[in-house]
Amino acid sequence: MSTPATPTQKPGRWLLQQAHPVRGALLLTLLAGWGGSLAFIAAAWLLARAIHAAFIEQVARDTLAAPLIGAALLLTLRGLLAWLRSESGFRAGAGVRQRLRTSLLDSLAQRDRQQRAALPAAALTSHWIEQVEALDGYYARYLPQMGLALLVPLSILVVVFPLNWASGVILLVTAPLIPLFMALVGMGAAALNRQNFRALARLGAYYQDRLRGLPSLRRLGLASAEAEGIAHAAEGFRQRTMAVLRIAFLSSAVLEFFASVAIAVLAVYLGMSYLGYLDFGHYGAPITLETGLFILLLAPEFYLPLRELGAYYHDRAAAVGAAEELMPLMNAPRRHGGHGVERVEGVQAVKLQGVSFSYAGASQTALDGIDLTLAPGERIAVVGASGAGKSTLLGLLLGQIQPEQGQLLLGELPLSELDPPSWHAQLGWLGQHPYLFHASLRDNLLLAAPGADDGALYAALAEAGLGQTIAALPQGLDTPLGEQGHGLSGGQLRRLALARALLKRPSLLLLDEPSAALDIDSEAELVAALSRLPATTGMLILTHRPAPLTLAERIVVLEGGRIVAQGQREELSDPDASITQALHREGLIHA
Amino acid sequence: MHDLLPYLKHYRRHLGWVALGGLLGLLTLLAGVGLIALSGWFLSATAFAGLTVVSAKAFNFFHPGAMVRLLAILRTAGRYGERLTTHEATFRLLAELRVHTWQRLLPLAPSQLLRERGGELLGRLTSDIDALDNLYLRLLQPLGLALVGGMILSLALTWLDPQLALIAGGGYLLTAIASALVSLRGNRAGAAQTHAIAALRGRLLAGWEGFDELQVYGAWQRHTAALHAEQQQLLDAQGRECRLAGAATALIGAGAAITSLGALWHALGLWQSGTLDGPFLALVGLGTLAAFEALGPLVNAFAAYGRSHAAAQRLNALCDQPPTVSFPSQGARPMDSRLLLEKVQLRHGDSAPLFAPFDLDLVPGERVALAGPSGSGKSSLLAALVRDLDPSGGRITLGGLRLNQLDEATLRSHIALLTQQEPLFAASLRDNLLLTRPNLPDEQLLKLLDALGLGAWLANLPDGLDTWLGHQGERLSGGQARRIALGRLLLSPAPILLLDEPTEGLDRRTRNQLWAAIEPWLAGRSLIVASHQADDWAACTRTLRLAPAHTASIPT
Repeated sequence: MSTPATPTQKPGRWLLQQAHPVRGALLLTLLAGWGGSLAFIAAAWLLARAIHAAFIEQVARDTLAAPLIGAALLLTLRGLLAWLRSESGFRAGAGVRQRLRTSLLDSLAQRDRQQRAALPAAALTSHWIEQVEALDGYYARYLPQMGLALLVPLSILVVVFPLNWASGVILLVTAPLIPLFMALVGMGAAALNRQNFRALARLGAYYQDRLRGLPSLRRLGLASAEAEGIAHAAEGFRQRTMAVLRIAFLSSAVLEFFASVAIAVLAVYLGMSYLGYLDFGHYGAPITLETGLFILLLAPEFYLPLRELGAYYHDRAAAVGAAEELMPLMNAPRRHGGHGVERVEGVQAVKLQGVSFSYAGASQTALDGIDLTLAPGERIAVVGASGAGKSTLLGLLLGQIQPEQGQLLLGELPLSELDPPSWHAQLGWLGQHPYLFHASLRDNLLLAAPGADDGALYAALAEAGLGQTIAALPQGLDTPLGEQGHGLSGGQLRRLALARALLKRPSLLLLDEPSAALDIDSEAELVAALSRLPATTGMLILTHRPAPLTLAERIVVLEGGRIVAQGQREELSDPDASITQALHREGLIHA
Repeated sequence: MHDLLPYLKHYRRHLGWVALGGLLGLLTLLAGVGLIALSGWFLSATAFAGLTVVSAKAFNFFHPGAMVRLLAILRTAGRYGERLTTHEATFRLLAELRVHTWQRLLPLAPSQLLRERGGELLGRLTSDIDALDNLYLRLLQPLGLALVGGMILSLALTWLDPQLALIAGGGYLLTAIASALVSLRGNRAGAAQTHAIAALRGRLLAGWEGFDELQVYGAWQRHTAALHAEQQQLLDAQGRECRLAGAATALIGAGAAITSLGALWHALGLWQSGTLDGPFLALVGLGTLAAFEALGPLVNAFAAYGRSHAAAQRLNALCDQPPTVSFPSQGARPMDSRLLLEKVQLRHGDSAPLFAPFDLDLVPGERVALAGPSGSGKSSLLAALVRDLDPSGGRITLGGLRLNQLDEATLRSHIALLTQQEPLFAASLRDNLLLTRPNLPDEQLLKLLDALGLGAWLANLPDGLDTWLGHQGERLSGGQARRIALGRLLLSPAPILLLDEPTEGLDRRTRNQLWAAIEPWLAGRSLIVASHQADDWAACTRTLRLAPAHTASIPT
């Protein structure tokens, strides 16, 4: 991420906020977990009672069938409730992920071109897919478990205290110690983790990095030697991670310890009470076996939610890590002003009046007092080195960013008051990376004009100079396009994108480096196709190559966000004209 | 299962850790079950003894009491030790799997590695290896514990009564099998998830690259709708897996209830017929119930198995490809670095030849520009010169020897290639430059970076040459990364350099400055530059234009 927004909010709070819409599912998860524990408590009582009755009261086995079947049913019910718990937990997690992906997508769509360029593809997929996935455990398991870790021990205390206060005290005393010890251990692990974090992140990413570079390393003659580097990084990763784990696992050991010791202490206390060595904790009547076994059975259940919470702790850690990455994306300032509702009527001139714009954090203005009018049907080329402001100009025209000063008018109306789709409907677009589906040629063309018939598609293809090429394909319009448009050359793909743009009958074609990365022949074919378009099709051509300039009636030279020269193309025959000089400086024409 | 076998053999080398982890796990399990069972016995025995003062005084509470405390400590220490040793084994295994996979990938040609879209294959490889690594912690350890633990506990019951052991052991085994059968059905849901994630990734990237036109075409809404539909498929598959795991959990719960209460019922019969001591009632009931906890981790184990299995299949499909290009292990030495191409022709697989056969004689020190339309085979020709693929016709010789007579080290030391997408590595700027030339003094690197037009950029870096590149490091623009990669290649000792679009993305001024500035590093070397920039051609002594297959190439 290029600009991590200042963390105005703790990730923990942010995570909790996201839980709001799924609170119903979370509550159900909690209730299912709690219900499971209550069923167990009841089953434990029936079980303890049955053993007591058989052993101490020596009743016949058959009279115990009912309580034992009851206990079996209750334990089965507990299993079913566990199922419900995982199901509704899943719903909670899925709901949060779904909502978050939707709003992430919205917020990503609000980005202007520069902000989008700052987010590399790998980071985008990692954010939108992996990191959102990483939130799941927090909602599906960790959050409900927080509630259970409180509710279940409390319920057990409520049952145990009236039976035997000493046992209650044993449980009660150990319970608050657990989070305390865990926090101490966790703090140690966190400190260790912070020290290790960068080294661990680098060592962890080492393998992936070298895999991506494997062909390159091999060509450099270094690939077999790199096996040692990989082994070394993996060894470093193991040592550092184990150092962290030795402390991190202490927290679960603490839980385990208290759970085990409480059982042992309870057993010894109850046993000694039965033998008459101890005589406290009860309310007068001596402790029965039934009470003792019941309490003993409840002891592991008392600690279970806490132990599970410990096991789910990494879900929280993963979610917090992901939240730290996702929050700046969601909270990124939206430069996108409100949209208007006015519809665009007819073909209008586009007027930039003193338009200035600068990106947040940039020292230079991207565009500085631009005055430019595009008459309907006019063809203007804008040239300039990268960073001169061409992309900003496009962002403004598409309505993705709004001028800071000056205004952008369509006819007499500011662009910001217009309904974007009605403005976009007039535009055609041809960029350097035409977007193509893994689908048939037809489907790719229909993107621009859903419902167009084959005749219209072929007409557009012919205009783009591709009609015969496509007709000659064995599958014609049904030819599937693979990755990078497999089967068509780079130049043909660009003209396919042009055909798609033409299907809309645009009144203004935006051409963003239309011939970048094409060879000279393909470029010439593309420019030829463009020059055959009807004179009513206006064009705004952004380029730093000479060939597309022949399309333009007027040429504008941008430098550092300002128009430093402009003139008609005919003026280029005059070597002293300012536009000729400027293009010469840009290296676009030779002396 | 046999897809996984090649990976399982790695466990042999870490058998010590694996065995220790297993033993500690078993100890923990037995201590846990023993603790609750013995406590139940102890309570019953003391309660019964406490009925009369005489028997109370005669009861030896010391040994069981000490045993209970011992088991409590054993369970704690055992769990801690188990987690440490199993993780230790996991990381050791991971290191080995990574190195081993790397070595299996080494002989493959780049085209075999990058079969799938966008290099996703190599990206997924890491998680596939992790999935194999998980096999131990998620499947083998819990499965082993459940089976061995269950067996030991049933055997222990045999000592009380064989029929009792049969009931408890049988119920345990049946429950394990039933829950395994249910959760194994989650396999396909696991594969569906992998599929759905790949589809999501592809569509998301396409939408990001084509964002502007999707907006202009009013197609962004349709695109996001498709994304949401694909996300729903992912969630459906996850939901299926979750539901199956939940069903398996419920099955275990029911199995535990029926088995332990069935065992207790049988024990009650034994007690009333006088063949079983009363305190053992609680031991049987509580112990059997506790033993079923060992089955819990199996619910997710089989889903983990599905993932590991799919990962192994993918890895094997990738690694077991016969290499399309192979090198002799001991090759002859070329006489000089004269590169001679005679009637060379290239094709990818069964497709038509990329260009008409042509000849090229590159004498040491000569510079040739390679021109021709996009897709005419410029990059493929350069790839053939470093044997990423072999020509389908004609011959290529270096210093009088055919390229396929050279061992890999000899070829690499003679010919170096800058591809169109040359990666930089997660390492310092210095280490990125010095890959092939360790120990070069910093002044030389600074001079080179200056020549590449990166001097001003470097001067602004607080860490200078120590600046970390790649993951978690300095962000570079495309042009900067390209020039650093070019610098790395210029430092290689190879006498023949192949440059594929070396100046793409640079403006004209920078491009021409660059060619002049790097001259000292080019001196005396042969050069082939594939480019469609006239400025790049001007830096060469002659231009070769690749012609389509049906006409002849015309040197100009």
